[in-house]
Amino acid sequence: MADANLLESLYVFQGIPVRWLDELLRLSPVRAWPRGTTLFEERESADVAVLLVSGELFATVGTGQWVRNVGTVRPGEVVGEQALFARKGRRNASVVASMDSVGLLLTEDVLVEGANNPAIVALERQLLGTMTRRIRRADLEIKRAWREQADTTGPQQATGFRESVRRIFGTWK
Amino acid sequence: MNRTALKELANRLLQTHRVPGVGTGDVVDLLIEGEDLVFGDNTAICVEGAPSEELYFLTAGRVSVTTDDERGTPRQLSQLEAPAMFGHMGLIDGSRRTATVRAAGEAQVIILNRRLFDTLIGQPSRIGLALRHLVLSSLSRQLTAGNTRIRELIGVDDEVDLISLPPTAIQPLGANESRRLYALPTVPVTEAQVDQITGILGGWAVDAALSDTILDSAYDDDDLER
Repeated sequence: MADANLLESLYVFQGIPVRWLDELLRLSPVRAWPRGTTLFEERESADVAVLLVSGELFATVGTGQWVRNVGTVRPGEVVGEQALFARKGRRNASVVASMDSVGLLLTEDVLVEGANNPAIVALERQLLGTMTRRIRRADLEIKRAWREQADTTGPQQATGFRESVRRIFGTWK
Repeated sequence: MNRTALKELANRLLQTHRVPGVGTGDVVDLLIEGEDLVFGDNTAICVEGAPSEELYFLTAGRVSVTTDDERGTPRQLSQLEAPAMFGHMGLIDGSRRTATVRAAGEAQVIILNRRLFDTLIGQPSRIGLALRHLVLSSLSRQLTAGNTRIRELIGVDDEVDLISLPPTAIQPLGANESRRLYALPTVPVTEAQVDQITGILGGWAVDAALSDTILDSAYDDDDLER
């Protein structure tokens, strides 16, 4: 199956037998997003993540002249995973296809019905690593911003630290 | 710990973690795999800088979480109350402990050692699913709570229409200024505030930070025989 061949090429699924990739595709058929398609809108309710199989996605915040690119999603990466494991909330960024892209929608149902599927286990293990790295990086950046302001005091320190943090993290919902 | 006590603990964990596809019995079966230990007051459960070899479920009591500053002076990041889970990030990325955890009064824990963690985390079984989803839920909470505290610290609130700011110096609001610009707060930032974010991101303060977000999770009221 051509779609299973696409999945086989992703690092996360190396060594996973094709029959399990076929099973994953049965639970979540491949979706295509032409360049410019908005997959998620900032502030909308979140209940699905996306595994990007090919193409590229941009995560952006803001609208009009205030739009900023806050991240790029590449094949093999998952975006929006907090929708699956965090309290139901709203998207903290919009996600747009920067080129013609293909991927899988990951919902609670896919994870639960595919709980015995090694492909989904592999995906979840990758998520564990990705999220841990993101947390470590955020912590390092906060501490670095703090150290950079260590010699300043008062409003200058407050503004300088906050400005550093704002530049690093942008804004959230 | 007997299954009745573990069931209660499992239910409380599922109330505070969004864990798709995991029932009370699955969490009980996971916890039974671990080792029960009791730590006396002020006993170190794990030490900053040590290799990460265990995941801990705090089943009773309280622990104090500290980290040493550059001068070697301990600073408190958090106190955790049961039920809580900690030590998972080091098992995932192999990092050494980023904080020291000591019992504050007597503390009871269930420990999953590295060998058991590595075995279960990749298992396509209900126990493996329970472990993966509990940890993923905890990591999601750490990210969400950390983001919330960072937003509060830099003074971003939802009422301000500035989803994105141009990467230039922040300008003070004037009478004719667009609401798209705003003044950063000038209240001094304290080291304690930075520690709080570190504690949340590190998973040391998640329960305290999200004590008001108990979920109405649909966990199974499983038969004890499961």
